[in-house]
This record gives sequence, structure tokens and C-alpha cells, in this order.
Amino acid sequence: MAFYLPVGPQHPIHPEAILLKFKVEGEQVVDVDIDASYVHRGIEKALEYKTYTQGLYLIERICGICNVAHSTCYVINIEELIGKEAPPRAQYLRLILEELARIHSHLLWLGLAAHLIGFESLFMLIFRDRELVMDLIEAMTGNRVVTAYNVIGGVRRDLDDALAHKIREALERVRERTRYYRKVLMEDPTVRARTVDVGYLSTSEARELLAVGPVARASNVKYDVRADDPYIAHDEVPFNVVVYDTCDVWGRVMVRVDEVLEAIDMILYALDHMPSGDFRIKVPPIFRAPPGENVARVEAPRGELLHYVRSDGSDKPYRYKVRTPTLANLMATMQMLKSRGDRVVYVADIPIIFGSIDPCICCTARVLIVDERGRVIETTTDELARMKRW
Amino acid sequence: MMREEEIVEELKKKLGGVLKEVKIQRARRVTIVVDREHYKEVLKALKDMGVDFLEAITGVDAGDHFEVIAHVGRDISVAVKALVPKDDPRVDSVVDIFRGAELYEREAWEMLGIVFEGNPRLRRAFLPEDWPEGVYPLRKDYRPEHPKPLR
Amino acid sequence: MGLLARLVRWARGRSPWILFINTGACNACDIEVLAALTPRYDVERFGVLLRGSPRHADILVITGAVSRQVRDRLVRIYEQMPDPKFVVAVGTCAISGGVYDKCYNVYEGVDKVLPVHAYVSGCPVKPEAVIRAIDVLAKKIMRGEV
Repeated sequence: MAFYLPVGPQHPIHPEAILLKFKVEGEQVVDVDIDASYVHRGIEKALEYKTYTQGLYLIERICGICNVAHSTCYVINIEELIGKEAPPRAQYLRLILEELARIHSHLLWLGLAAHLIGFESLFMLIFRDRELVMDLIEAMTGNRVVTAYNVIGGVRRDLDDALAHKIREALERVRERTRYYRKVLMEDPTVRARTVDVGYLSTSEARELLAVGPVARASNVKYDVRADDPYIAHDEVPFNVVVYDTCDVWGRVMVRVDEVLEAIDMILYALDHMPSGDFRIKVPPIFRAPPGENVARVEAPRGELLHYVRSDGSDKPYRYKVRTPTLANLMATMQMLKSRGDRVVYVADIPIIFGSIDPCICCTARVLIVDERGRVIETTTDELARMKRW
Repeated sequence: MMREEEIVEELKKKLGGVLKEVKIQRARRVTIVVDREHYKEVLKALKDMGVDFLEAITGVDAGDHFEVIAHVGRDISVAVKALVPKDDPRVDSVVDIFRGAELYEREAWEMLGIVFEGNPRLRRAFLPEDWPEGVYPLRKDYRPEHPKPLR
Repeated sequence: MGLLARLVRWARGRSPWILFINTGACNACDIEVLAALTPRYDVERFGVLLRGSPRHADILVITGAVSRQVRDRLVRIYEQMPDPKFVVAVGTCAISGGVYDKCYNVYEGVDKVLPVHAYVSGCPVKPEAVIRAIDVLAKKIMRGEV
């Protein structure tokens, strides 16, 4: 006897409005639907009504957590379209902020993952240490979350020696704490019990379902835009692409912990090798872009982010398309959430498996209903309300 | 020879007459324009050559016609652009080549009304459930408006 | 007013339980509200507790301009909350739609859909601002002004 178990649109496991519909037999999940239409806002259309400079502010608010990735992608896209290039110092500053944002995003996720497996003290500890990074982002850009640091033609502020010193000091502390968390996450029996062999996604499945970012890298797919298609200063700042072959939630945890440590090294290297000179070139606030099209890719904390722009020669984009990492990973998530063969998915594992892709629904703002066996499960408001009543 | 040129050469050898326009914009950026009949063929050929990652499918309302652009490739981004007439907006689905393409095609269908023939689940996806039929927000004739307040 | 009613009002203001919902925000306000609940800011010292169910909550904290799809669900969640209930709109887009001008799928603010008792401005808001809003609202509840 199968039951349908709706999770969302308002549910404690995920503050963002999303509807997950599970078909369960006893404790086992046999099928899953996802509906993420709740945060669709229509940003791609609105961008066609805004000048390139105005668009930057909207782009940053596609997603607050990945705002740095979005704005970096947008500015390198538009700069390439209009044939201007930001000075080398700006590229390094962009890289520093991008990696700081990656640390903040990964620590946020690690905290939430601890919360999702019921490890509340670890959640609170990681969030306490994350504030160190938030302070650095605030000192560097003037704001904690949405930074408005990247502009077309460079960055908004320079970085002086005092701040560089502060960043070095704070990052040493973050590194020490992250190493400690790495040890906890590697050895703690509760963490291992909840994550090892949970949410399995094989290498071939990850390739076939077009997974990106830490999800792909935890399934032994070595793909990182920073290494494969270097942008800003990534061809000059060395780093290792972190790959795990465990193909489970534990691997995704470890990829992110190790990426935090890599990001710290990258920032310290960039601070030591920062070129001098201007941090911004003058670009008028309203300008016409030559007709043409361009595509830019960035490795956001959640994976590859793609922006595509088409210009018809006016001061507004003719078409702007954003393909976010969570959208790319949703097909893979659906696969992970389904019991198949001897890999059984239990209801209790739903939060951490869904959480393991680091879902960012506002980024995605797109929907899907998947039914592996050709069944269509349409939900109406009334139906949902009836279900919510028990 | 650069890898971009190798890809272009091999494609030309395989499907010479089909490619309407081939351009290497810069390192790691290639654009290929084809008619819609050959769109799937080109993607299949690319996949056989080892370009096995589909990044995105973008639909564009280009005035007198639609364009469907598939970006493929990990290190090199190849844009395969299919020209689709407006009075008959149909193109072959590539779900059987790239299983993960399903969502991208549904998005383009919903936002622009381009039908991907062969996609098994071409259904209303991320617009709200009370959205009127036949209104495609990313078409150029659609003007965005905020919904009316409830109170 | 009787002693019991005064006691109830006092108790209500000392332990406002909140329900937090994202109705189409960009996640920036969400993580700042989350930050307000974690050790650095620790809103729990004001008796505030984050709840998972609307039936336990006194204050509905809403981030984001309301999207068309979420509207009916939001109204339903609001209806499920026990009286008296209060709404806090967090962030500029929850106040007026903000940066989502010309976005066809969102309302221009929460107050186009629900009555709102406190607005927190900022894009995104700071955790301090969220704490202050809840604190001010709780004091007003205690004094019986809302």
C-alpha cells in the first residue's frame, strides 16, 4: 500500500517554498516529485527592461547566497560583450571575494547539514565560526550578504594592507576551525551513520543526468569551471580540484569541507601575489552594447553557473538567460531520492539527501514534476490543503 | 592545432553541408548555426566526439523566428543554434541523447512555446497554476505586469 | 482589564514564537534571519523560538515579495495560525516589491496580500534589525497596542 507524503511548500526541513511529493511504501521512498514553482519571479523578463547597469542589481538578487557568483558571471559576460576588460587587480579582488563567498556558503551548508541530521550543537558551532567570514565580507565590501562589489569594469573598492592583514588573521582561525570540523565529520560515528552510503549517485548517473559542482565531484566527475574554463584570475592562482569517489552524502560533505580549505589557500595566495594598479576602469552608467551574443560560466558554490546574453545594439539586453546549478542538479536529486535495487531510501533520509545538493530554489525558480513510471501526479491547492490537514 | 579547430574540422567532415555557419569566437567558445532539422544530428555527433555535457538550452525570440541554443561541453563551450520558424515552432527533443535535458526543454517550451518533439513530459512546469494558456512570458509581445493586490 | 488578561498579554510578549516563511525572496534575508537565531546574535534570549508549524506560532516572519503561486498557500498558513497573530515583513521586497520591479510573477509587497504589523527594511536586512523588529513588536503586544 503506497502513501503520498507531501513535504512543503512550508516545511521545517527547508525554509524556502518548495513542494516535494514522495510516494512511500512503509518507510521506503519509491517515487518523488518536486515542484519548485513557488519562487518563480520572472527575472529573465524583467532584465530585458533594465539597462545593463540596473540589471546588475537585479542579477545579484536572483540569489542572496550566490550573489557573488551571479554578479561575477554577469560582469564578465557584459565586459566581454562590450569588449572591455577589468584591470588585473580587479580580477584578483573578484577572486578573493568569490572565494570568501564560497567559504561562507559552504560553512552555511555544513551547518545546515548538521542540523538536518539532528546534530544541533555542530550546527550552532559552525554558524558561530561562519560569522568570522561574514565580518570579512562586510569589511571588504560594506555589506554582509548582498555585496554589490562587482561592477562592470572592475570592483567598487580597493583592498588596503590593514584589511589584508585582517583577512589573513581571520582565515587562519577559520582554517583551524575547519580542520577541526573536518576531523569531526570524518570520524564522528553519528555523522557517518547518517551520511555514508546515503543518497547514492554513481559516476555514470552523475554524467548522464548532467550533475555539476560538489554533487558531481563527490561522484568522481572531475569538473570545475575554475580549472576547465578559467575566468577572472583563476588561471594564475593555483588550486586543486577536490574529487571524492564515495558517491554519497558523506562525499558531498567532504568535498565542501576540502573546498573551504582550498579556498583559504587561494585567498592567501591571491593576497600575496596581488598586482598593483587600478581596480576599476571607467564605464559610463548608460551605454549601448554592440549587437552580438556572449556566454559566461562561473563555478558558483553549488556548481557551474551559466549566463547568456544577446544584444541588439540598445542599452538593454535583448535576452538574458541564467542557468543555475541547482536546476542542473535537480534531475540527479530525483535519482538519489528514489529507492532502486538494494539501495533503499528511507523517509528519515529525505532531508539530508535533498539538502546534500545544497538546494537553492530561489536560484532555480523552475519546476518539474517527475514520474519515473509514467504516472502523472498533479496537485491542486485543495488537494494539498486536504493533505496538510492531518 | 587547437582543440576547438579539431572539433570544428571533425564536425565538418561528418556533416559538412548541414552547418550553416561555424565560428570560433575565442578560445573555448564555438558557435554553430544549423536548421532545425539537423539540430539533433549535430548534438549527437558532438556527443559521439566526447562532448558529453549539456550545459543549458536557451530559447530566444529573435523577432521573425525563434532560436534554440544548446550549449554543450565542459572545457570548450560549443553553442549549437537551431533556427525555428515562428509559425511552426517545433524542434526535435534531445532527451534520448542527454537525459538531463528534460528540464531545460520544458523551460523553453513554457516560456516561449517552442515544442520539443519527443520530450515525454512537456507539461506546465514553473509558471503558477492559474497562468493563462497560450501566454508565453519570454516572447517579445508579452508585457510584464504585477498581479493585482488582494487587499 | 482583569488580572488574568494582563497576565496573558505579558506572557505573550515575553515568548513570541515565530514561524518563518520564504515567499519568493532571494535567500539573503533568509540567511540573515537564520543568523539572528544562531550564537552571534541569539534572538532566543528574548524568548523567541522558531517553530516549524503555523499552529504553534504567534508571529509570521515573511521574507520576499509574494509570488503568484505561493499566495494562496501563504493565506492558508496565515489562517492556520491561532489568534492573536502578527505579521512581520522582512526586507525591501516584502515591503514594496523592491528590486523585483517588472517581474510579472510577484506582488508588490506582502501587504498586498496580508495585513502587516511590522516592516523591516534593508536589502538584505541585518540580523540586528530583525531582532529589533521582533523586540519592538513583542513590547507592543505586551502593552496591548497591536
